[in-house]
Amino acid sequence: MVSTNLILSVFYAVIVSFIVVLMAYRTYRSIKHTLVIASILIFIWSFILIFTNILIEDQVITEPLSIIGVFFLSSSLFLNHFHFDDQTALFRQRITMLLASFAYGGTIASLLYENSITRNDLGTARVEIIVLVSLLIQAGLMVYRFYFHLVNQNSLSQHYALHSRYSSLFEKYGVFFVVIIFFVSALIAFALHIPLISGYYILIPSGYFIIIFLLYKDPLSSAPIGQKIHLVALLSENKIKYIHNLASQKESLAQREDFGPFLSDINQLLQEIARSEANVRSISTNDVLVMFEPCGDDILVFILQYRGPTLSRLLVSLSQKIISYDVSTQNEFSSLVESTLLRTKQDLRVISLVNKSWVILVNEHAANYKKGFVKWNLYLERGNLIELHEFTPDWIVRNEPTHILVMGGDGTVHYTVNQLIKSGKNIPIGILPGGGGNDIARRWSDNHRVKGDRSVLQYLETPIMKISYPDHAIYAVNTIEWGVGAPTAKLREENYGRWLFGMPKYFYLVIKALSRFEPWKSKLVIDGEELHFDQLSAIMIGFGNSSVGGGFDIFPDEHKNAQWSYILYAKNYQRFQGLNIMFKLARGKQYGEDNIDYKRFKNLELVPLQENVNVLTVDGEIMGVPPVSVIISETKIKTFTII
Amino acid sequence: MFIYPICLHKYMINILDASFLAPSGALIIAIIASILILRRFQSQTWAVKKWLVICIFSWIPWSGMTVLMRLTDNQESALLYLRISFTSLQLAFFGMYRFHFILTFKSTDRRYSSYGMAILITFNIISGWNERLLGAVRTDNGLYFTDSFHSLLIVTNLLAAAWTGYQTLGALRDLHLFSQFYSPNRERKPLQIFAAILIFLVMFIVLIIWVLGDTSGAKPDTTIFIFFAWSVISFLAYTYGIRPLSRILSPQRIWAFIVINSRSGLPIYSKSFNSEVEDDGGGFLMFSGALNATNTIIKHHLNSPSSINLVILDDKAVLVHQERDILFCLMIDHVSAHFEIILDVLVNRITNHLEFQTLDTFSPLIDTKFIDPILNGLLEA
Repeated sequence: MVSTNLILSVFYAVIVSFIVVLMAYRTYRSIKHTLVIASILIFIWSFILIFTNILIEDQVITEPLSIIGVFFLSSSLFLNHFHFDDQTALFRQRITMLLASFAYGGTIASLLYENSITRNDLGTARVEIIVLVSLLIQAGLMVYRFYFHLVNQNSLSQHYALHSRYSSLFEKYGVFFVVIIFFVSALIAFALHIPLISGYYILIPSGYFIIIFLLYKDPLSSAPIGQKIHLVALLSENKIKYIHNLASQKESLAQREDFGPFLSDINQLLQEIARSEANVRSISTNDVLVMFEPCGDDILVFILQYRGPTLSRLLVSLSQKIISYDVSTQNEFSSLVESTLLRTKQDLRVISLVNKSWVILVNEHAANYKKGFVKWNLYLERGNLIELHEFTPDWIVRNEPTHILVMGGDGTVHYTVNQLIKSGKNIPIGILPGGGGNDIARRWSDNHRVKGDRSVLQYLETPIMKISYPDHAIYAVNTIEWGVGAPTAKLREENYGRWLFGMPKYFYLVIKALSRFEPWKSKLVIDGEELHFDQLSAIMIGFGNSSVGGGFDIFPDEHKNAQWSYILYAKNYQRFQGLNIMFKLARGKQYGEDNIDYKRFKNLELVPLQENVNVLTVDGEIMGVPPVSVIISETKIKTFTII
Repeated sequence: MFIYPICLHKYMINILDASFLAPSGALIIAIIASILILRRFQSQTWAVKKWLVICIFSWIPWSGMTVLMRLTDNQESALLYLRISFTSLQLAFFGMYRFHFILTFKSTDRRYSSYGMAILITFNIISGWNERLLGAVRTDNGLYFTDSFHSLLIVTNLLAAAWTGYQTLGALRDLHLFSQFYSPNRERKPLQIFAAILIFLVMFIVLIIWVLGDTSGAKPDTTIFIFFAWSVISFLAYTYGIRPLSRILSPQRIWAFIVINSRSGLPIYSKSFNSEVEDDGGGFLMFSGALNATNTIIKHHLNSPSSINLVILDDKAVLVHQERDILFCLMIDHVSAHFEIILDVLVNRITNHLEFQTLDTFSPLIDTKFIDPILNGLLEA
């Protein structure tokens, strides 16, 4: 008998997979419908499962309900199959879909037989073998099609090779796992005379869930075409106007001088063949397909691998977009192609500027190092990739990159800026957010938005703070914290809360840090004015629009001046009273309390008046112990944003 | 042998009963039609005619089993005959649908229609063996068995019939059944047009009567309706066989068949089927050069190991098949599975020909006359 818990878990799994479908396909307007309807059907089926197994005991109701439930399940399997078929099935390779249609018709018909699903007094259902077999055939064919969907996905992902190398292996095993779940378990169930009900109660929804989860893993590669697109070009008067390469291995092809004439020659030759004025729509070999689509007076050319049912829709859509957006530069064209075909959020206008004279720093200790590789792959492929530890003042002087892109979090940016200042060069820095909090990226992005006329690369002079210790000085890019920041940073370095990210992680770490926290006695000198504290609880120093912990704004909106620096100080908070500040910070209501205040400053001194005080954290990294003095540095760094 | 004695003692009086006459007549038509159609399509390949043959031959068990059901006295046997006949009917529906599909439709189009048809046909076949949906009952006079359809099965059968009919009519419209082009001079005789329209009209009227009769509880015999439907199918299948090439002249026309030496780029054989692309001396030369150049460019620039297999234009399509250094090109109106099959067969027959195997493709004076009879045999059979 299938236990209540098991059915409930199936129900939860179905809800989760439904949400995953909605999330993974949220940008695929015209393509997601089939999969969403399929998921709704599975959802209804699992709901019926709960009704028939847990809530209702009357056989008169449960038997027909079970039949309706299996009808929904079968329809869902059919639609799932259709979805994958629609996306990736090759020209004339639709036999599995036809077989799936036979199986689907068979399932529905077999449900109408008397006693196709029966229930005994215990509430256990018994499914006629014909129903089960046809369901398994449907599921098997779906998995088969899905397997080829993934094979094609991988070929799409190969030009974004960084992530596909590890993901394809996972996907492969994932699919084998699904196959084993479906068939081996079913065979064992048959062989051992285990009640056949488990076949459709557990195996099929579990497999479905895994499939959906695999899909979600890499939404980029579930792009509608599911095959390798070599390039897209716009031909105008028999010359190439714009060209966008998607497959790196074919890069040399588009760079050939005779490539433009080649495409137009093909077009002309084919018109000769037809001996008519008719346009050529496509030309194909077994390995390459060249498609032509009129785009105003120009012709859009696609070079890809093989025909697919969604291709012409995409081509027409791209052509219409090019006309309606009045594309007038190569960057705009590339951006449009990329956003239409791959739904990427990476700004093609910027990507196309990146070349080997750009250095891209990666920090393997950054919180989202692996995710960053997937997210920013187009940048990483084009730039000169180096590890953070190689980035020394000597290296900078020796290589003199034109731009620096930092893939990492606040700590990585902090390190980069300090190395750059040491080298004496003023090279523009941009960020590819890949850390936990990314507060610096947020602030820079905000700076550029404030300026209003954001062009492709907008350079800004961004102020930084100089922190002078008795024996050396460093530069803070965003914030300096004295107080709970240090134990928080320490906990983070010790890998606490690694399963969290962003604000929730910061909250968690702060709460944990507060348990070890004691206020301390100290003195602040703000622009010559001395302030004494017996119980200083926290100090935060930053610019008007600085934030901490993945988005907590420190200073109120009316003082969000990016060029001005402020200090916030909190006193007399004992241990967990500090939580109060956190909650207020989260809601932006930290001011108005007697114990918290902030001031604008130009120079500042932090002087501890007792032994064993907390260390400073600068841009989220632990950086020595006061006394220190802080001033707005005369040196400004040049920044640009790409998001 | 065994029908006659049974008939004698029980059915002499009811010999004129339509329920008995319909399947008997159908059986005779089916057998005759099968023979005629097989003869007409003798030169066609099985890839082209298999669905038509399945369709026509399914008619024999359908009508034969219905006759047996009328004659038997045993409930179980009657049910078995009915089920076999019903399954055959479904196969016939699918065969007819599929035949028209291959005949005219593009391979990637209409796939929703194919999937829908597959669902419906399987549903019907499996439901046909469900006692609750299809049963054999004695008629009111108790003399013989007739079928009893559940309303669900009536609906799904009507759907399947309508679906098949819709696709067939679509195909016939494409083939200009209702225009004049069938006779040897490509003009259909008025009598044929009249017959085609009349037979559709009759089927339509019978369908209306049957549906109305069934909904009003009069329980008309289903087989009578199906008999009429099948007469139409047999008639159409027979007319297809009269002159297969003529049915593809419009709008799916063959424009030309050209064989090109891919080394020299020169045509070694060409035949035009239409005056618009008639070989005026230089036309096919230009065609060969252009196609060969395109092929070379594609292979060279795009690193394609294989040759061109298809070129699609707004109003034409060129199917290409490469064998050794030879490109076989068939220029037609639009891509269809039917012509891909035709080209495959054509290339097979040519390349297996003794003269082709000894052909010296380097020689400028190549005798390719042996292709003519092959082409005529296949395309103009």
